[in-house]
This record gives sequence, C-alpha cells and structure tokens, in this order.
Amino acid sequence: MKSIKFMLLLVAFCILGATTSNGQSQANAIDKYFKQYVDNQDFTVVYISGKMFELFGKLDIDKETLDLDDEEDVEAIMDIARDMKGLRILTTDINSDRYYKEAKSKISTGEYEVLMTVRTQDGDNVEFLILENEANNKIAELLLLVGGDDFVLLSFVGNLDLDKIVKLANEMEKD
Amino acid sequence: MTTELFKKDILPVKDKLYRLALRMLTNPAEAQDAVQEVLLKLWQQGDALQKIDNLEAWAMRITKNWCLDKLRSKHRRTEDLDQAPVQTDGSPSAQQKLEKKETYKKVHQLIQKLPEKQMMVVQLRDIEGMTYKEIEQTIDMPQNQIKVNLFRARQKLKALMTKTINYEV
Amino acid sequence: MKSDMIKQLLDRYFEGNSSLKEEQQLRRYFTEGPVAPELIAYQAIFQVLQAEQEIKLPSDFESNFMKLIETPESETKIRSIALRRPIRLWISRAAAIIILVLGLAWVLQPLNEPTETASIDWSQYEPEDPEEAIEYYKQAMLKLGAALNNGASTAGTNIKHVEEMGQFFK
Repeated sequence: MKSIKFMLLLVAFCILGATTSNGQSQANAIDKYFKQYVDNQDFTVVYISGKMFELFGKLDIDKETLDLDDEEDVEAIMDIARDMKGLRILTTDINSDRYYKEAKSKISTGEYEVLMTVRTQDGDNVEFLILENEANNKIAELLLLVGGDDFVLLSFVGNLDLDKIVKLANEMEKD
Repeated sequence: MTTELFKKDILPVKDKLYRLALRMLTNPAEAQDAVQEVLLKLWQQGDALQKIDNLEAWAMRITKNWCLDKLRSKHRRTEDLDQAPVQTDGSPSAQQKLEKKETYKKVHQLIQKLPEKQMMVVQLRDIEGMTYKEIEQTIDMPQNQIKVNLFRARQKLKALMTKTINYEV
Repeated sequence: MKSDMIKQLLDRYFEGNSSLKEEQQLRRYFTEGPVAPELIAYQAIFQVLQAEQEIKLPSDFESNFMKLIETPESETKIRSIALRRPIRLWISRAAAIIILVLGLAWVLQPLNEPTETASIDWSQYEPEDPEEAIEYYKQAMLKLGAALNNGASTAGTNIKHVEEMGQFFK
C-alpha cells in the first residue's frame, strides 16, 4: 500500500512536471552568466526543481535512505531542503582549471558577494559566493565554484539560512 | 479523523496559519502557540471536519478568531519590535544597501500598522493569494468591502513609495 | 514594451482592480528582475510581499505537534519501497541518464534558437525520479559542507568566522 502511495506521488509529480510551464523563472547565476556552459557538450548539467524539493519534504527520509552514518547530518540536509527552490549543477572534467578561472571572472561581484575563497588541502580551488535577499535577510542564491581535477558549479537558489549551512558543516565535521 | 488524513489535509496549511497568526500577534513564539492550539482544536473536531467544504478557509477562520480573542484579552496590539540596527561601513554601496533595508522595513511596518480590516485583506490577498471568495469565507467580509479595503491599503503603499523616491532624490 | 504592460498592471493593482493572475505577474516581474529603472521604486513592495509569503514554521513543529496528539501511529513512517533500494546503484543509473540527456541535447541542438535572450529549459536536466534527485542533492550538500570545513581550517580560522559573517546579515 505504501509503495502505491509513493507511485501515486511519483506519477502526480511527473504529470505536474510535464504540464506546468518551466518553473525555472527563478533568477540564478547560470541563466545570467553561464548559458554557454549548459549548451556545451563537455558539461554535465543537473537540475533539481522546487517541486522536487517539496516532494522531499513529503517523503520520510532517514539515514538509511541517504546512506549516511549520522542522523544529524540527514536532519541538517533536509532542514535546508525546505528552503530550497532550485539546485543547478554544472560539472566537467575537461579543461577544469580554465573554466574555473573563466567562471570566477564572469560573475559580477557587484551582484554577488564573495563569502570565501579557499585552496583546499587536495589542491582544489573553491569559491563561495552569495546573493543576499534584502527583503528577508536570507540568502537568495549560494554559488559554489570548485576548480581542480573537476570544475563544479553549484547554484543553490531559495531562502537559505547561513546558520543552517554552518550547522551542516559543523555536524559533518563531528563525525 | 485519522492521523493520516490529518497529515494530508490539515497539516499542509500550517505555514499559512502561522503567517496569519504572526501578522495578527506579531510575536513568533505566540504565533507558534496559536497554530498549535488551532491544530489541536481541529484535531479534536475529528470526523466533523470531513464534512467541511473548504478546510483551509475553515482553519484560517479558527486561527483568526483565536488570535482576535488573544488580542482582546491583552487589550493591545503589540507593536512590531524594531530589528537590530544594521551595520554600515559608510561606503557608497553600503549606504545604498542601508537605504534599501530601510525601505523594506518601511513597507513591512506599513503593512503591520494598517487598520485591522485592511491588514487582513493584504495578508490574505497580497501575501497568500486567496480569491475574494476564499477571503470572504475566512473573515466574513463581503466582496465589495474586500475590494475597498484592498484599494485603501494599496494606495497607502503607493504613497509610501512615492514619498520614498522623493526623499532619495 | 513589457514595462508599459507592467505599468498598466500596476495601475490596476493600485486601483484594486487587478486579478489574481495579474498580481502574480506583477510579483514575478518585481522579484525576478530585471526591473525597468522607472519602476524600481515599487520593487520593494512586491519583494516584501514575496518574503512574507515565504515565512514558515520551524522544521520541528510538525513532529512536535504529532507527539502532542499522542496518537499511536497506526502506520510507521511513510516509506517508499523504491527508496530502500541500495543507493549505490545510482551511479550506473545516473551515468545512463546523463548519457541519455547528452544524447538528447545533441539531437535537439538544431532546434535551439540562436537568440541571445533564449532562456534555458531546465526541465530537460531533471533526474528521472526522486531517488536520483535526492542523491544529487545530498552530494551537493556534502560538497558544500566539506568545502566550508576545508576552507575554514585551511584559512586558519574556524567555523566561528563564518558564523560571524552570518551575524552580519541579521
């Protein structure tokens, strides 16, 4: 009976996805600056929509589902999911350094604020950027740029709470 | 009513109820209590709930009435507490940001200080996106009155924006 | 052209004559941008309305409430059998999906309009099912958390520094 319920949710979701007009009317950095990466064959592109995040909220997800050791990690991750409106992933392992440098220069720092720039122990370059929503003091978009063996661009769009993200990092470090 | 049905039909509107309670009571902790009390009430109504046409409007109604009772017993409407002062380093863009934050605060305060009827219609229409019919079901206001109150509230918002532009020029 | 239409809608809005759909249009216009310079003044209104609509109860509210009711749950959590499948399978499935998506993108390329303002159709990049989606999301979050931790320790500061930055927004 439960699997039927899930199936129904899934079908409903698919119908919803098929019939609603592109819900990606959200402003995000990729639409603004990186359209050409999306069209570029070198790149893997993934999009998780707001509707999908809503669906996550309805399913009961625990550490078994996510294959994680720590229930607190799961809680932290799912707590952030409630605030998510869209996740966009761009990644490539071709020319990753070049793309990283290019991406960094393309993002207008007038609009996006650099939170942190880091060189990790593995030799990756990482940059965090945020777009603040002044109407509610939340983060409208968080961008993660990674350059190394792979170039990764993560765009988190929603009403993000920096506290929650820090909490996640802290929980992860505890293991 | 089963737990499952409750979860499916009632709990999804809890955020809407919260926003309404928050609008009326302004205090987040009180608003949370309000939602809890309202949900409890609904839970206790049990199977009678299944006969109701528009559960959401019903729940909103109960929330509104509960909050009104609370406010009356307090004999006041708590003023919106000002947020902590915003830091600025004095640089031009920080100054602009500060102005923008001030504008948001002004809009927020204007809505909060509207007379009760206008405040309710702004909450239900401009924030929650309810139809006139749904609003009528929730607060017992005839549709022509809803329109009048919306008009008055929105005119105030417009005036605020015009005033703000003139200041900044 | 577009901003003329918006001006009209704005007028109707302030007169109290706009329909729900029109109000949604206005909200979208002012929150997604870009906004015509002469209309910037009105942006704050719709941004505040949008922000107000996004306020939510804390995440533990529902579970606390259910405990309060103290009803023995007649069923255990709503699990989907599909989600119990070993997640490790996702790698091969994800690879298959990616190949499919890339193949489709390649095939559909001639259909792409070369206009500068053509917006991206993101729906083609969505994973097939929630299992994929949640795995991608989880990986993204783990990467985020790891980068934050890595960065914080590499930079010689600790997480408190980032927390302080968080205070700056309040």
